[in-house]
Amino acid sequence: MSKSGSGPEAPSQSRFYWLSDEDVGAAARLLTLLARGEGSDVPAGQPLVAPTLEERARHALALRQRRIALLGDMFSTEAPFAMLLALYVGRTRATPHTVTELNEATCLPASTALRWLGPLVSGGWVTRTRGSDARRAELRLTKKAGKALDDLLGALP
Amino acid sequence: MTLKQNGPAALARMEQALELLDACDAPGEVGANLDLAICRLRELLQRRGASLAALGPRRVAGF
Repeated sequence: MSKSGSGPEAPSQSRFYWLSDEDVGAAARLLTLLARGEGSDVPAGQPLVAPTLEERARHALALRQRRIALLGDMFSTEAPFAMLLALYVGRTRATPHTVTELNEATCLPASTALRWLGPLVSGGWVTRTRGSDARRAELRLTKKAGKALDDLLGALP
Repeated sequence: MTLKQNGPAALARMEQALELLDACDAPGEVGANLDLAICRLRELLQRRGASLAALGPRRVAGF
């Protein structure tokens, strides 16, 4: 847009033309490459063009497939994976998680979280020990689970 | 046939199935998935005003 009497004139309609999806994709890749160069404000590797909703959906689906391939069929269900994620998010904190905290973090019913703990412990994903208060179980992610989640989440762009 | 009418009977059978699975050492993940379905159905029936008095409260296994 230009102000009348000053600045450049608006381009005529004839100077506009449609770009194909391939053109747009190529431009996005080029801009991403340029962004990796010196003097760019965009962090290296971060795309300049936000992914479309379909691309995000594709990515979510791929992540699910990768999760099942890495962790096993048991994790085709959301609940046990959510429990692992909750423990992973808080793995560096000083105090271990309790079952109640896991329920709150995952929005799972208490009975369901308790039931999932069995397979998670027997599968070597979580350790469950009695805390100082014998009524409260202390939950920790195992090294195996931490490594698997590192590998899975490391694949995220 | 409505869910409000027949849901409580279905819920009772699901809870019986869960007890059977527990009694026969079925894999824990099977019971855990069924448990979640039971919880969701129970919540749904409560929201719809179905009578669950005959079922009683759910028992939750502790540590």
